[in-house]
Amino acid sequence: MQLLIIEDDAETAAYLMKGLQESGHVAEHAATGPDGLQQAQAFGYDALIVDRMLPGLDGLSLVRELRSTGNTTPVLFLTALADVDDRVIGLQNGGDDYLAKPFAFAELLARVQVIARRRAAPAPEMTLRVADLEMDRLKRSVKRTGQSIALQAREFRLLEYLMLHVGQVVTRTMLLEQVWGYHFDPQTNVIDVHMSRLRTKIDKHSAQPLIHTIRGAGYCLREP
Amino acid sequence: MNQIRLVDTTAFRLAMRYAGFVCLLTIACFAVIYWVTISQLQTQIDAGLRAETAALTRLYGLKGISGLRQTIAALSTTKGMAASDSGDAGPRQYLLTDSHYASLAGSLSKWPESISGVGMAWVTPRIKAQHKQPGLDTEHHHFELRAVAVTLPGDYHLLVGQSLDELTELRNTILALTIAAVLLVLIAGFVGGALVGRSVVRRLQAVMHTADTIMAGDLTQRIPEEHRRDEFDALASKLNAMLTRIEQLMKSTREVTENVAHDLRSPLTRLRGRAEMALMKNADAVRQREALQKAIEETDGIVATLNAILSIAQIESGARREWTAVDMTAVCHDAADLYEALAEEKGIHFTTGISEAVTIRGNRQLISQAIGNLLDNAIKYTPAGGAVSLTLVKQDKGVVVSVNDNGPGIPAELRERALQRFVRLDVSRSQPGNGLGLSLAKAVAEQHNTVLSLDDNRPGLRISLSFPPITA
Repeated sequence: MQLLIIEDDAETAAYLMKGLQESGHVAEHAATGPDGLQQAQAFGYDALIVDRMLPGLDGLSLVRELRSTGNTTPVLFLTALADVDDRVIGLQNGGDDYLAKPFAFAELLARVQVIARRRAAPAPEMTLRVADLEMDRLKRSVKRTGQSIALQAREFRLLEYLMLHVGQVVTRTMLLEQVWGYHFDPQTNVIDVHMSRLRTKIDKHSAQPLIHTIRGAGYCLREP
Repeated sequence: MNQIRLVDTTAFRLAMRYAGFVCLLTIACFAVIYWVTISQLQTQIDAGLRAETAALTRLYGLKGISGLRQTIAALSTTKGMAASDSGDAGPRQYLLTDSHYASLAGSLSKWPESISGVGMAWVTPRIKAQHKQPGLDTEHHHFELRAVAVTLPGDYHLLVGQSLDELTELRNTILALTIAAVLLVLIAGFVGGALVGRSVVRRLQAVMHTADTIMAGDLTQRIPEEHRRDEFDALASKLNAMLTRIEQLMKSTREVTENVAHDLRSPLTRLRGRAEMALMKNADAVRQREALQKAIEETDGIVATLNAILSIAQIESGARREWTAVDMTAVCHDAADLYEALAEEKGIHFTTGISEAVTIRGNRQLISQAIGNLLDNAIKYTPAGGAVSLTLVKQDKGVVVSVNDNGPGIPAELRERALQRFVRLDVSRSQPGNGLGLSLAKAVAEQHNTVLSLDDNRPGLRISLSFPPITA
């Protein structure tokens, strides 16, 4: 992916550049709001990582400006303001996702990949398939190698989210936000418990597991 | 600027303004009374003069000029006395002249120049009295007359006049009364305004005094209330409530700062220790990696604690009050759904009793988080084989959410302490967590005007949140 990091803190920017390059992406850096806006408009990036507080032009105004010119490049806001309100304001102003500092790099990477691919992906179909796992989103039924699997409503949504983001790493926080609609940290490993239940139902009787735990990041559902 | 001059007070200014207004009104009233009285009196006098003139004209017709002369001469000496004794219309003045205006009889020496002798004329001439009259100081006294003049057959001229002293007197009386009334109103306004102003100033100075003390740093000061249930008491009680709130916030800010300093010290120490371990000479690659991994986990813990402290402080400060209708049934089902798996994993029997279609007003995220924390705690402290339940009940008094367990519970004397920030009762030291879960639930409860109560579940603990009913 081609990414642009608009961040005034040199150290954070360097750390992000290094991490993204090691993950096989091309990352560029702009240190001020106006520079960032100019670069974002000049080149077609797959996603922008924008700090809220920037010299010259703040992140919100930058993205508003960008959107007003018809540019739809996905934006991940990065901020020291971790409030739910700030998150809402960020999303209302054209951001696609929001991440509070300090963050784990894996969390950032997972989120950037999701928003970057959301744009590229065709409209999701009613039937999802990953290897021999099949989901009918209308009938709300799931089959593995033709065998029907009974899932509870929440488990179904969890699996649906994983299948819609097949091959991508999804973090616990993302699952909590997207599947449960919670924007807070529930202290304990509740998500892990749910994932292990889902895993039991999906992978237990199969030689080839589809759901993988990504250490230090989260989970990934992918073709064997 | 603590001293307020009495004359500068609003009460005094209003009183004076009002007194001025009343003065104008008084003057207007008296003016109307004066005008009506005078004009009526004048009409009466005029009618009297006309009647007298007519009578004298008739007398002339009957008795001729000599009869009229005699009558007028008599009237000039007696009538005036009688009239002024009785005190009504005042002394009458008469003058009968020949065709050359030479006096034939009467109390006036000379025909007034301002009256032409022909027909009738209403004037107020100044003429000299010929005869000494009671009520007139000197012979040459100038006085006003209301007079009527007629020309009789035979070219005699007759003038009958009426002194207007009465009118002048009345005018003076009314003027004096007006001045007295105006003075009275002004004095009353001044004194009243000063009194009211002084009492207002006194009570405001109590407020200002309190403000001074508070600005000097003593946040415990309150404005004295006088229990009169007046607007000043209402203001004082509102301001006192505000001061209490400010004091609470200041205290909470101070606590947060202290807690941050205190509670982050140990994880930061551990973090530093891990980093040093990674740098130790005899550490191999695997150990280094492990130490760094632990350092990251420690950092995450610090961030989580910091976030929890900040979000409690934020909730307590009253921010995040964007309230909407919250479907409590859904909130409880969601929370149960999330934590049920956790309970089962631990071998705890999890049940729910959630009423349908229960709605309250509040912040969904915060309420979810509070219920989540309570469930998390209950599951954490209940041993395997125990039971945890979540209930939502709609009562007349409101909506009650309860998390019940049959774990060890909290002894009654420790319940208050358990709600304090960072307090982790001894039994819980071995469990992971930052000791902020219950504090956050309590802060959320307070923000929603709700009580978080801890009760004995015999055995175990029962934590309830009672939301007031929606007042639409």
